[in-house]
Amino acid sequence: MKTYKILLSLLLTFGIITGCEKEKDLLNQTNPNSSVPESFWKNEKDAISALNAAYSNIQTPGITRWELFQYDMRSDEGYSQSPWTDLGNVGKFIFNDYNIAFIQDIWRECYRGIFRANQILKYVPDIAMDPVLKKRILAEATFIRGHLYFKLVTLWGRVPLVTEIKAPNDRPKQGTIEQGWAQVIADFSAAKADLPLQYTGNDVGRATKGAAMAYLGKAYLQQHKYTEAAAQFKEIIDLVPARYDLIPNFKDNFTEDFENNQESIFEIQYISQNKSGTPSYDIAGGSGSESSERAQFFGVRNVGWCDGQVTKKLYNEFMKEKDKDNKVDPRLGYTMFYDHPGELMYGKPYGHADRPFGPNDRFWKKYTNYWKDTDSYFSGINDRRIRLADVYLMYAECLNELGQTPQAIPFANKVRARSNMKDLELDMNQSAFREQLRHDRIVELAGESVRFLDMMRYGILGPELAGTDPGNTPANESDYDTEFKYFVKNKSEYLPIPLYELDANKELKQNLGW
Amino acid sequence: MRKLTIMNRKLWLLTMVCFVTLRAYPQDLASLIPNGEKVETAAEEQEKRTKPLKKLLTELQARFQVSFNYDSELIRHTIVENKEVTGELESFLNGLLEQKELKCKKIAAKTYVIYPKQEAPESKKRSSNEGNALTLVSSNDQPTTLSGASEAAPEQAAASVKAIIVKGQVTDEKNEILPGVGVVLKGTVIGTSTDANGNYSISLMEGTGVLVFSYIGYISQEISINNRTTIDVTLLSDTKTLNELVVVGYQAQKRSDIVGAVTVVDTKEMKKTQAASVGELLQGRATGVTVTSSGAPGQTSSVKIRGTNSINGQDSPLYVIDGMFINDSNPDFNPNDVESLQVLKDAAATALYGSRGMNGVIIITTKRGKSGVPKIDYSTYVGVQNIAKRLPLMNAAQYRIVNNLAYTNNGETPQELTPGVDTDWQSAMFKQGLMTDHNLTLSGGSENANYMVSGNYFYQDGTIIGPSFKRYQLRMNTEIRKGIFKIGENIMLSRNNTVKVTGNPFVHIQRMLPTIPVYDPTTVSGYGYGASATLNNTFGSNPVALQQHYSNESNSSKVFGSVYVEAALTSYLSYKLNMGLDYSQYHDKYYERIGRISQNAPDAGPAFVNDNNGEYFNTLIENTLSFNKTFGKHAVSAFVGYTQQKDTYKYVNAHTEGINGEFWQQDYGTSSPQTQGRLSVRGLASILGSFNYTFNDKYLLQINARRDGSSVFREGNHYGTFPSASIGWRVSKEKFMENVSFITDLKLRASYGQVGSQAISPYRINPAIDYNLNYVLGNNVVGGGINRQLVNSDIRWEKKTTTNVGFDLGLLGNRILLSADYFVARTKDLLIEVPIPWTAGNTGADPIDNLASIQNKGIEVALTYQETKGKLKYNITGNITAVRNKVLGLVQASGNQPLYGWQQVVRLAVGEPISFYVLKTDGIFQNPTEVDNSSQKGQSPGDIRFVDTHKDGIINFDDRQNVGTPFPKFEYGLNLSASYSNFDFLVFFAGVSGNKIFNEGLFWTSRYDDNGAYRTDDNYWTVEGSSNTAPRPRHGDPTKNPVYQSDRWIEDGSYLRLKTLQVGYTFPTAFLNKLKGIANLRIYASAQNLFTLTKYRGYNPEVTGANINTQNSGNNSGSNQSLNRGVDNGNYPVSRLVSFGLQVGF
Repeated sequence: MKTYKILLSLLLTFGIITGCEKEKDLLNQTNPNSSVPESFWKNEKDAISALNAAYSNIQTPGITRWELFQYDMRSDEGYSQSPWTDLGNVGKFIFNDYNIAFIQDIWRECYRGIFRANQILKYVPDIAMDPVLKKRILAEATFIRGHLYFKLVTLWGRVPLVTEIKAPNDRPKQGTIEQGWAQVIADFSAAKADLPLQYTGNDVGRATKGAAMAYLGKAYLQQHKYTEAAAQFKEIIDLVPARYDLIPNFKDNFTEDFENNQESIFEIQYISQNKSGTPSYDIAGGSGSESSERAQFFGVRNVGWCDGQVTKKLYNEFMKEKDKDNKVDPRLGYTMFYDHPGELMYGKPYGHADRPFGPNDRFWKKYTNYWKDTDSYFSGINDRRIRLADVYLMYAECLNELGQTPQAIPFANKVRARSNMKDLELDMNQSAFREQLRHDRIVELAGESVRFLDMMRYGILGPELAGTDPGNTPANESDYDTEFKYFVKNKSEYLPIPLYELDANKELKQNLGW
Repeated sequence: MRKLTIMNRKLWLLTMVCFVTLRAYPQDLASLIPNGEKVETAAEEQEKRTKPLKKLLTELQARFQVSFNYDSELIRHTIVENKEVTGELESFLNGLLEQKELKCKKIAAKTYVIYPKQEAPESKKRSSNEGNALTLVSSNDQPTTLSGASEAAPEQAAASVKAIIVKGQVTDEKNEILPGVGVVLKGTVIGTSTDANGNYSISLMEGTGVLVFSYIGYISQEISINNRTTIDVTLLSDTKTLNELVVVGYQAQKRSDIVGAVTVVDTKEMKKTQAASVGELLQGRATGVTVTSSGAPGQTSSVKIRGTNSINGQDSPLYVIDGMFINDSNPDFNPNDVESLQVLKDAAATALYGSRGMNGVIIITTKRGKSGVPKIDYSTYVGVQNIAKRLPLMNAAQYRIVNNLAYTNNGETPQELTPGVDTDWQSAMFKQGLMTDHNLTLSGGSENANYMVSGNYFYQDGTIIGPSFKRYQLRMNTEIRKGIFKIGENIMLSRNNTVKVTGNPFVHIQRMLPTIPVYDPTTVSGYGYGASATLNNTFGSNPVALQQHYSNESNSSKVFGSVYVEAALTSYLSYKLNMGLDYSQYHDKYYERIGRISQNAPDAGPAFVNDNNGEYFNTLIENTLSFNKTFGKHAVSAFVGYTQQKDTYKYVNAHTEGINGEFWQQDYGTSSPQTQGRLSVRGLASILGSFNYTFNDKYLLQINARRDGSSVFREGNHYGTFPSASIGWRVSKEKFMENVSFITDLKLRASYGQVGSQAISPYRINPAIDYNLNYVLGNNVVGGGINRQLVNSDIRWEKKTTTNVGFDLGLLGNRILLSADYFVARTKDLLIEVPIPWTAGNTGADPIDNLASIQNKGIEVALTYQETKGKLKYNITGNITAVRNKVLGLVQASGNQPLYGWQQVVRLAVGEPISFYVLKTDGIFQNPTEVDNSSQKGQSPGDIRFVDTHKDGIINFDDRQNVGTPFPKFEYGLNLSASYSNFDFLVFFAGVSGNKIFNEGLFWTSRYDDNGAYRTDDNYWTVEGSSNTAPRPRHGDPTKNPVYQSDRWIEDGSYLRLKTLQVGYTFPTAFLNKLKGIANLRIYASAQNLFTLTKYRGYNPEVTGANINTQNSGNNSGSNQSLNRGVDNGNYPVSRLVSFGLQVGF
């Protein structure tokens, strides 16, 4: 009897003990895997860390890989023979699936970056730290936001403008194109005020005052606000040669050497880093590559995916004008691979068993590692998003449109001279120079994601660009970009908003025609 | 006059067993005994001290699992002293009976006879006179020496040669053998009991007289011997099987007392289907339970109870295995071990499981040893399985014609298709798979202990190249009783070895072209794949290579079970400590050899290996106190408990690249080593209570409540309280029903209650700072960290309120059983990852929100007819379930805006069921006039005419409409089982009707704008009048013809399937007696999924829902499983299985 009582009391005690981890402790579990915002945003280190994370978002392949298709394949410079039908359709303005990666990813990643920038703008002001650095960090975050809105406004036009952190159930309203541009202008203007002209050492690669001015000018220009645009470009040009200048060789703008050079105004930074079978730049947890996928996606067939190629029309553009020595425009050879004596593609000529290409196969060479044996997802070449040559040409365009053609022409000549092209006569009339400038922009900046916006600004987008032919000759054989046969005016200028987004936010209306 | 009942007999049993010795509780042992008999009343005190003998015997039978044989008349008026049992039962009873002119004798292991005192001397005399005629031979002891009574027992040393021996086998109506059945020559103490194989053998003086066969829970039978020497007997269940104890929660209840919506599954029938997991066996067996299975070896079936209640991925029921919780019908668990299985469906039934029981509860009790001689049972089957269906895919010659046409229709030069190659990807991929199961069980026990040990080996080979599943499992269930204590454990150890399906072969079969060879020595990998934009172009992966060139294995080990101690504090109060553990560890290994197997991958990709190790350590501690007492006609039981659960999960993943040769270890990597790891903990603390009251066995009331605190919510929102109540009325017990003879049993039930859910992963309420968001500055990688994932911190418990009414009806002596339920379940504050606009900038899963509400209404009916006619016995059971879901409200903060699932083809909108929401097609434009008269000007004849829902002259995604629901309108099962003589048959059909399936395979074969395989039955348009269903093939089609969000890919998902067909033969005892050592033997042949009637054009209409991301879109909105319902994006089809099996007992 006694034994049982003892046993029983032991049992009850044991039971209650084992049954009772302190309930409060059991129920208040904190996440052991990551810190929480309350313990973050405390010091300078946190602010810098957050800023790096925001930069990380402008490098994400969801934007940098796919925007090339949206800007360059949709222009008359590029066309696609991608075996992936949906991707090949981008340049044809055909989207059967509005949620397809090359639409969805850009939209989504841009807003993810904007969210990061908005966090910095909200939390960093309260951090006790060096006030100069604080201002710079806020300016950099604002720049990043402007940079992303620039993409959104140019690709979709009417986009929601999110400038602060909202509750998850917020359904932002759609802005107009004008409001979109106003946001871009506001962000770059604010950034410009507090960004330094230059960085040194481990800060090289951050957004500079020049970058903000260049983007600001570009944004004005795109709205045909030539005066405002010219003012910004002039400020940059005034920094030549102290801060900026053209570098001697055109080709050095597209290699891993000469990165962040004098000509460069803003670059997306990469290093060659083979870190995984499938690269992903932005994974929490250790893996992740910091490389560019451009070379893999645009690379020569049998080396890369060859999802985007060069139109014959672009090739023809280079053939329009010979250089001072009556030779082919030297920029051609650094822009594309084309069938001519001496052409080597990763060490092998046209017609080689590994390069079974004919004269009508032309490939992008700019931003590839063509001097190597092969290319990959892990290219380290920085993407020069704006360089001085572009600024010169945009400035020239502003002046020309403002009726100051003679003042404009020398800026075009600066760019031409570098590539051994003849100086333009200063007495060219406005419309002749306008045409010449359009040509100069193509041959100088092909494949640098400017042409589609140029075409939009010029107002020349239309199905007629497919040529007189019913548009059935492939773009690599026709003198026109025959992919434009599918272009529908007042529709194809902008991308469809992802169906997901429309379904998630009833405040949004689909873009016209989609 | 007292009518004594008890709500919860099992609990009482558990409690009472602790009283075996020493402790005497003078008070009212009798009052606890379930007994319908009326007894003579006496003064209160006297009643406390005495009790009727019959009642005592009934108690003892139940308590010690023994049988008593007696003449009811003889003991009818006998009242004995009410004493606690001490010592051996036989001497204890003889002590009580001394003054009553009665005696007790143990005649076999668990069999006692009560006989008049005077008879014994007579017997003795007779035996002495006639030379030991009274032979008590227990076949347990002497199974073979039937005539050698001399060896039976010392006192029968001189056996009479005159003795005749009667032997035979005792079975139940289902032909299952019954061990331990008492067999007694009526009016004597001559008797024995059946052995483990149900055989008995009794030695008698003469071939006359009557044998009495008795067994608890069965109707005793008296059979005249009439000089026969073999008498096989079938005992019928006591019509009071309603007294069968059923585990329905923390307590067991009499079946007749159940007032919640509970299905007691016939596990014997259920186990006639062969499968790796219990979930699969449940299909069609219980109303309100939807099971969809996959044919992938080792895959867990999807089990849903009463439709979709919760959306956030976790809408599968809770499994309670011997008191320990687990969340899926994991194939770790060996279905052979199942003894009983109950499905709890309404809130009243599941309330005690609180938050864990939100989606219904499946209670499984595993087998335990029974007192008696050790039993050894072995069962096995071996079968072959196949994928029954082949899609009508084109061969190379047919393909060439259509593919060329597709290019020409787009004004393109046709691509090159390799001549001379004609691959049938289905034949290349599909194969016959072996499936086998071996199960060995040892069990036994004594009055104070029992044990059961089972070992299982299960092997299933895939029906496609690659996957397989192996399970090694050991279970030990033991229990000992000592004093007031009962101590026991149920432990399962298992080790699984799975070769997983890699990628999505059932989609890739439909994307590969017949002109691509399976093996191609010119590629780096050695496998064929789409070569280029102009040669065999497809982005499909070689499905053979997916399984062979990549390796995807998993090993897991599990310890699962519980240890408990129960103490009977008083006769009506007991305390139990239950400690459960679910510990499992896994190692997944994945590696890719060098070389690509699809066009869309880098050839230069290095060989790499991933090793993922994880561990789950989930504990449960329960302290419970049970009360059980009867006051006259009032039976009360109550129960309170405090429990805590803690689930810990951690993992470490390692990755390395540049493996040279077949050395798949981390040490052999030459580049890019990476690691990942994480820990997560979840806590749950609960107080639970239950109160049951029964008046006069007629009126039943049950009240349950549980208060749960969960760590997944923030402080202040931790707790949720979930009450329920149910009432029952056993109408058939009423006086006015006495004359309604055809109604054997009628019970009306009603319940109302609330349960909750916290089924979200831990740490979803606190925003986190994520690191490794890196960039390059100064040509160096710099680290970044920021918040990426948005959270909603103020989420609350999800609450489901269910109203259930039902009845159970037994007619004509329970030959017809009808059970029906109607329920309305409303879930509010549904926890769901609400798809938020991407403009919010969220990365990762969407934040969780409490959705307004969803309603499920349904009817469940089960009907059984059973009949025995001579040697023919048969049983027909049919069940049908109809559930309708409707969204009552969505996120109010965003104006009840509809929510979309899988690739924007599934929609939740207020007032509608969860539906497919897509563009609706309306045939094909046959001529230019039709185009001109439509909203799709500019299209060509041969293009699809879409319905312009808004009649605005434009077809866009605003024109999507509801085209049907992925949820079946009806689900049904029909089971026919019969036996004739030694043969038994089973035919089992299951089916669903009224649902739609999104057939993604069809999208790949019939979109034509992108190259995939083509179907011969697609009937594409060529000229006017040629087709009104499929458009003209056009590669790179710029029109909306290939749009994903279209009803072209949505098909009727109704099906009727012959799930199981089985024929068995049980060898007769006479035959087995010749095979020494074998007690029973049954062999059977079985076929599963023999045929399916369906209009669905994919492999299998049993679709679990989308689970694999497709190439088509990197959309990450697919995490809400219920929003993926009915999407077949390559579900592994269930197999047709033909098997042969054997069950043998020793």
